[in-house]
Amino acid sequence: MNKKIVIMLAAVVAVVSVILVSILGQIPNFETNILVKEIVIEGYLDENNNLIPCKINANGDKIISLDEIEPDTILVLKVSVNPDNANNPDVRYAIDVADGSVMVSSQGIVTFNSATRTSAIVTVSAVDGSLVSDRVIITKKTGMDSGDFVG
Amino acid sequence: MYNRIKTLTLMQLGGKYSFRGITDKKKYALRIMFRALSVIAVIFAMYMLLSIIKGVIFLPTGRTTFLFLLFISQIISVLACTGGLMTALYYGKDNPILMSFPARHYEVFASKLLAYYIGELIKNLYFVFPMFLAFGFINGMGALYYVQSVILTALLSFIPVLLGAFLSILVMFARQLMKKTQWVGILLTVAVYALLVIAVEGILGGLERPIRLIEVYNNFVQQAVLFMQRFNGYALIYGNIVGAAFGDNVAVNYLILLGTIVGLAAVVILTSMPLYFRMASYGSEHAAVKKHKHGKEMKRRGIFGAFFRKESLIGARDINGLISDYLLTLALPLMLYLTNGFYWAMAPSVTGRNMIICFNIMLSLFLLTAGNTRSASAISSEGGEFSLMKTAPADTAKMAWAKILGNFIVSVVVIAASMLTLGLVENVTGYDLWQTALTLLLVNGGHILWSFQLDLRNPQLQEYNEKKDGAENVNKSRALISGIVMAVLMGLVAVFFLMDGGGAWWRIIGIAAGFFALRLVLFVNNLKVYFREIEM
Repeated sequence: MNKKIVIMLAAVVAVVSVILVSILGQIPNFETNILVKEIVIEGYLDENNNLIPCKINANGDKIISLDEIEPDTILVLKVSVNPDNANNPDVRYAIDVADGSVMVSSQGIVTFNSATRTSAIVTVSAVDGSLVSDRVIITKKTGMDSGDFVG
Repeated sequence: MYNRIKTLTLMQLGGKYSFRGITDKKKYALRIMFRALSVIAVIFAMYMLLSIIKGVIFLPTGRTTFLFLLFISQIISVLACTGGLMTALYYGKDNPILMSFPARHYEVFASKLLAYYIGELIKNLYFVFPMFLAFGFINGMGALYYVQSVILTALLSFIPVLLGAFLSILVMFARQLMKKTQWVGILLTVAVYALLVIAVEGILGGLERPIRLIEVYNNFVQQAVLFMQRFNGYALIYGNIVGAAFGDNVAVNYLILLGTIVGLAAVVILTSMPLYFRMASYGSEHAAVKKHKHGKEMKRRGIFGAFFRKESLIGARDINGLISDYLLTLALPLMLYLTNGFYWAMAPSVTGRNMIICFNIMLSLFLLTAGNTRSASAISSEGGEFSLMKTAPADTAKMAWAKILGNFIVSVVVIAASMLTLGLVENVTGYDLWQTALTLLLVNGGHILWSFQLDLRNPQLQEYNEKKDGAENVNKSRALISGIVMAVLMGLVAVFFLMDGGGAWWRIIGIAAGFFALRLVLFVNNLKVYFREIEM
């Protein structure tokens, strides 16, 4: 038994205590019945937490175009929900690919598992029954991409 | 040369893993089977952990997470190897024996590294290898991946050992410097503390209030993935190792890995090996340097004053050791500021406030009681000089109280500083501070007496006499365990009474006072009996 164990124990207890106080010891949020009015997929975050915004193609679709798609390419989508004080700001992520070559988690993290998959459509919708949603096409850049975008 | 290195390595391994006496083949096979089962159990546990990370926490379990975990584990490994190699290379108990053998110094050095590498490899078989396999299973990797896992685990183990061998010489220099000029250690501690305070300020200042952890969970997971990606940018060679395992540019990545190992070995041979003999023999040759001051008039102090001055002087002479003993205690104000910053950013309800008090008591006692190991080795640390103490014509109780007074003073100052911090700084609301402080003073005071009593009843004088700083004291471990138990118990007592309602604090303080009184009575009674009985 040495002091390292005490440090680890204190660190674990500190983290658990913050979680417990947040679950059992907070004043509840009394604002209710505020529905989500708008969901906006703003783009994705790079490694330094900078927002890389979506572009809009000629058909008005939101596009995220990537230089490279490799196995384990990870994309963290940035989505905003309006209004800020919506009672249930949770959203559901869905993807149009079912073969597992690209997946999206419930936190908006898109993972490409195969280099052969070069595009996917991610749809984000509200779960509070307001039927609001937004979608983005994630695709690999081609030589013709540059002239197609308007945003 | 190779035979001599082999013999020296086997001698060191024999001392560590003692397979020598095994004649019963069944027993030997049973031991190997037990170890193999342990590895399988670790693989299973890691696989389950990854399944939880994937299915419950919703973090990805692909290459990014693998690289992140491997990198973290290897940073810890490098730090552990640096400390371990410093002890093995320069403070090893076997050094005088190995150095006296008809072998060159670089052969002793190489054998020590080789023995350490084998130890590291065995450690990695219980951690890195299962991690490779668990990630392989969860990602459905092919057969080649598992073959590579074995090779990469063996190659990977070279890196922390070689880096540790190089860094240990730098740490050794720093340690010698700090021994000579103690203010460097104090300055470094103060600088690190100040940096931590600034970091905590930054974290708490940037919090959105009120925090609702459940509502921002998705954001937390996203930020965790981005953090891993950023962190992996610094992974250097470990990126190549994971790349090779996952089948990317296998030949190139292996070449880079082998090149790195050869390069590190060259650096160690060119820097650490030539200095090895000098540094290894430095520890004993320059153990004590004494400056004599003349013409200083001695003041008369009472018996208790004289003993307390002696303890203070010992502490002042080894100020870095003193800081090291009280490091966790000194970290208390910062720890409380950080945790309370989070608690009070959450708009706590009445139940929440009661929970905060309980967690404050529990966390404070973890850190405060960890500092009481100094009292748990107060007698043992006298070593061979204890016989001189016994000859002193003075009341033994005064000697004992003089030994623990310093511990009491540090604890009282730190508790006061912690409560002042909670009462004065921004981001935190002071709540029931004096009651908390009084409870901490009583419980920690009782624990100081308990810790000293542990050493009083079972002093390790012989151990300290032989090994000095490297001595292991079972009383310290017992003091730490009793501290943890007291912290948890007092946290539970506090939550029970505070949730129960009126007069809670009087009951909590009453129990703390009862504990202090009990320890005081036992301390005084034990002191009367055992102090005289201690023999060398």
